Amino acid sequence: MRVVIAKAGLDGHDRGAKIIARAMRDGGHEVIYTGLRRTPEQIVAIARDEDASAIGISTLSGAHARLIPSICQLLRAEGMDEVTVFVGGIIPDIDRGPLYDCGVRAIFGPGTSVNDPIRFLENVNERIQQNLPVGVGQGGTWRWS
Amino acid sequence: MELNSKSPLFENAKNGDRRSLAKLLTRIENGEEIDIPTTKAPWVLGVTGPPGAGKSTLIDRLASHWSENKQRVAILAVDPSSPISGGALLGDRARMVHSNPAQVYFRSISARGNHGGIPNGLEAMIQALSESGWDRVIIETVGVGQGEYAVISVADRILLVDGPDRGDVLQAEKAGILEIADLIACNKSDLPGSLKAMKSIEDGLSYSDNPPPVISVSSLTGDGIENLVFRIEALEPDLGKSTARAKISLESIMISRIRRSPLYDDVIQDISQNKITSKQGAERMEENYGGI
Repeated sequence: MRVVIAKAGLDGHDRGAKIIARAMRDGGHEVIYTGLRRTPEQIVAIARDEDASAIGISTLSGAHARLIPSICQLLRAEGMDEVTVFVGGIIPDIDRGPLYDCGVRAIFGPGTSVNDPIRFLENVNERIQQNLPVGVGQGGTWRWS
Repeated sequence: MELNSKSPLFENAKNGDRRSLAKLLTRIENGEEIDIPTTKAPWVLGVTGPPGAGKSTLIDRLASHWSENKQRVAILAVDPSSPISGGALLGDRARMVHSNPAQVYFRSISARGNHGGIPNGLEAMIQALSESGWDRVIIETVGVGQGEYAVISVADRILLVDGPDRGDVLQAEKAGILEIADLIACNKSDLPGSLKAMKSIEDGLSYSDNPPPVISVSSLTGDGIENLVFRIEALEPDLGKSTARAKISLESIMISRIRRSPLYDDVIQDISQNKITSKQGAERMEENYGGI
């Protein structure tokens, strides 16, 4: 799978993003790292140009409630409904519901094993084969747990 | 369905739809053939050099210079894939900070097991980009050996990037890169030691016939970039270099075809167990595939 690992906004902590990127490479995926401090518009443009099937957003800045819905909305506006969005980082429980509501399919918090996001992508792949919704604009209530 | 000049994907890509372009390139990368007539020879610059020389940052500068001058620039950044998992970590675009992503198309490509060789469909991807209106195509790859240089041998202009404290020009000479490089950029001219680096590169070249010119640049400050652009634009076709490039790209493609042959593993096993000689193995492959 082609996966974009993104850092959005004013957030310089990318150790986690890089570890996940490496783990996904070892899981057989082609991982494109955006580099730091990208805008939602840039992240969507990168996913479009790279023809990515999934975007993983790493966030530790506390700005997730603003940046992530904005990315999801832009993806739908570009017609990229089938792209899967997942999130890693510090997301308080109270903020998780709204992120799932805007189309995020998985949230990986502190303590996650590197194997979890890989199993998640495998699950996404299986669902794609079965024509089940996985994308940011495909609706349904499926989420990774 | 074959991809041709009437395919909606190509039509849309030509009309500036980047998503269609991205999907078109994916299909080519996955092995689909394209049948698009060539209306103009693609303009292709290959950029290589040792890890950490500043290739991506320099390409960012070049791309931003050309796009400010209303040229449409596409970058294909080729990175190796993991021999164990087949996955790849493609991080070159993290360096793209100056060029405007709305004008520059950047695509990361995994070598997908063609270790150091030319990724499948690279030439077709270049053609598709050129025919859908991208005036400048830049191919980037890390240069650590002969195999890696094969990637850029599909380009008709080649820039080798080096910098202070690397001393890799001699390595480059060993790997045969000097035969195909048109220009050498000595990057990081902002750092102390850059003059010494220039001199050591030039010294390293002093025994070569027809060595490529060495140009001092700084991707960080932008110094020397205009001069480098001027020199790239002014490159004249060089028969010796284009012959050397053609050799490398043909041989690289032949090698990957041999490796993909269904007989390959069996023949390798027989040779390794001394059942047949290497020469007999080669003959067996030739008999069955008419010389592949």
